[in-house]
Amino acid sequence: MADASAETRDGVITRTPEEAEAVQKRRAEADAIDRELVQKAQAGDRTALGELLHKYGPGLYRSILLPRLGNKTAATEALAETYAKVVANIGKFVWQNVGFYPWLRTVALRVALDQLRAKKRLVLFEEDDLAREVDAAQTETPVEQQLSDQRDREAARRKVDDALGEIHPRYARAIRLRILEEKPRDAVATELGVSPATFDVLLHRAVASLKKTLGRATEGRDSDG
Amino acid sequence: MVDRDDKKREPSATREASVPDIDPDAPPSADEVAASECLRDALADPSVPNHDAELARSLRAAFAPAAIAAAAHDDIVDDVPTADELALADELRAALEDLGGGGDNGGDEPDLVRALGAAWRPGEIGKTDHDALVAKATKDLAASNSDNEGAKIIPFARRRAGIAAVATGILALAASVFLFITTSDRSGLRPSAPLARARSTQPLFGEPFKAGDQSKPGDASARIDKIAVARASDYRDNRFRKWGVR
Repeated sequence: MADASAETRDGVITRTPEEAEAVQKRRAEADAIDRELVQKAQAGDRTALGELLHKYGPGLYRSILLPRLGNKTAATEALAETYAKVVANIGKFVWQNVGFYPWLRTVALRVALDQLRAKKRLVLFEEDDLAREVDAAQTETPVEQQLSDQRDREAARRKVDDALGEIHPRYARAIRLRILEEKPRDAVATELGVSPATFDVLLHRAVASLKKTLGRATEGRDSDG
Repeated sequence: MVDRDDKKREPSATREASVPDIDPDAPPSADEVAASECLRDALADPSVPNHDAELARSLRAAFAPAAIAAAAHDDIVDDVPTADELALADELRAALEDLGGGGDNGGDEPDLVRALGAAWRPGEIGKTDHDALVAKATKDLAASNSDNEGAKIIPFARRRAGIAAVATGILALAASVFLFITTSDRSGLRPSAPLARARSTQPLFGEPFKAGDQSKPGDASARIDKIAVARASDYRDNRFRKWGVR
């Protein structure tokens, strides 16, 4: 696929004129198909709606909902709620030549924001982050889902990096090796020069430290508000 | 001076060889001066490596051991995991082992660990799970459509149509008369004064606002209240002018 092989830098895809033309043509074809599916879904065609959801839903789950809500259960609930809102509002959707995905993404972000507000769990993303993303979603969602997904995942990783930057480097390293890179416990213990049992304690302290940092940031914002 | 018999009691020949019998007051050699300077520096700064200084410090520690600094002791105590910490560490380890299996163990720390993993490397939704969600959504769509289709259409009888047409005609006539009267009444009350326009709020205040000024608590709230009152007043005036009552 030309999209996948396109060179990306700072979230901007650079293409040769031929590639750009091919991408544009393919997008126009995909848009035509989506537009027809949307029209059918608006007329009550279940199969058409199913096709749209199968096409875009898994990406939405992986790039938006799971990273922002923090666990599978919450993300699956949010996806179900997103679909319910799509069913309820598909009749109001007006095709605006940017495709179906930006609208779907905005719906999902709003659902995720509502979930964060309702549950008050300690997760990496906070209400403010989601609120900003919802505001920006109206104008800044790329038409291509692939690019949009890439940006969303990069934003999630930046959030992780920022959070780890707030704690002691040794704690950050323990979390990075064991949780993010998913290296085996014994291997990480060896890498950090401690016994596996001591590493368990080190990791617990690392996570406790991160929790404290995130909690402090939240409290700071709450008291400012 | 040392007694000859005492000298015989020295422990070994090696020690005698390594410690030359030097007159303490003899002038120092260049090597001795250099070694003495190293020892002096090492005694002043424990980070400077020097065997003689280490020996000196061990002598001092044996002779008059110093108490441990409170902060250093606290650090050591802090480094020892408590029973609670050990339990939490064990819980976290178990949760981490379970993450691959998709477990949803409770607790703040496993939650946070899961959130980090999900943000860094989000997994795919299972096909069966997603199929179930889509099936439910599409079923809901069919249900909402069948509700609409199920709405009863009441047939319009010819006689009723005649009555309805007459009634509608009378109502339309009454409405047009009402409209004529009200608009002609209002024409005399058209606003002549211009509407209030958007403008800076600076003239409401005598001095510029300093953000974060702790010396005047409540200053920001008072300022916002004043702006809100002024804006509300403008809004009210504009509404009245548009309605033609001013």
